[in-house]
Amino acid sequence: MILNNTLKIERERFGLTQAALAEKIGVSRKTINTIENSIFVPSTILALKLAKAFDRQVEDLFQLDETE
Amino acid sequence: MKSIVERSETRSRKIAVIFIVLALILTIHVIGRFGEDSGVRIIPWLLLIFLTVLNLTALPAKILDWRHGGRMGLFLNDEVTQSFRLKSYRAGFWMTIISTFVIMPITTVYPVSGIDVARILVTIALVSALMTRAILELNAYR
Repeated sequence: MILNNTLKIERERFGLTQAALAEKIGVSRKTINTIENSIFVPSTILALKLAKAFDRQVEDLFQLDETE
Repeated sequence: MKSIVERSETRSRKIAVIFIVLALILTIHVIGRFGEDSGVRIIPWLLLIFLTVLNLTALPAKILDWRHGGRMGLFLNDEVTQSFRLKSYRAGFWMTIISTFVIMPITTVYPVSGIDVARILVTIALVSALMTRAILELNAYR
């Protein structure tokens, strides 16, 4: 099951770099990079933190790939 | 001045390079000491193994965290790092099992001492774990 996300789009909409977002939510840049590239699936806590950082719902940021 | 995220990234890359160097040292050591049963030589090797195992745990991140006033650990031991650590342990475990299946029949034909077999298996386990972790860490920043 693939988890798509709009993290990169949201981050760029807010004018944030990966490092700036990482610092904002207290993770390393590699965490942001691996989530954006769908390599790493974040925990519920981290997904909630990311959604809160963009003032969005978790499902606005993360969606299951229905074609799978 | 570099931000804490940039500093943790630098540290993380350095740790990955240290892991590659450790993997090389362990490999060279096991090849160089093959067939040597000296009890005295075992002690430095055990110490090296012990330090390598410690490096594969969360301890280095906790030490750096303590040295940087409690902020660095958040970035050096986050979710991705923990998942990479688990993947490296898994790689070490499976490589040991596979190696055991390969080495055991060979020792019935070519007798090898117990110390050598233990050395080879521990080295395979650690080198697999170290290299897996280093590759994952370095690729994660691309």
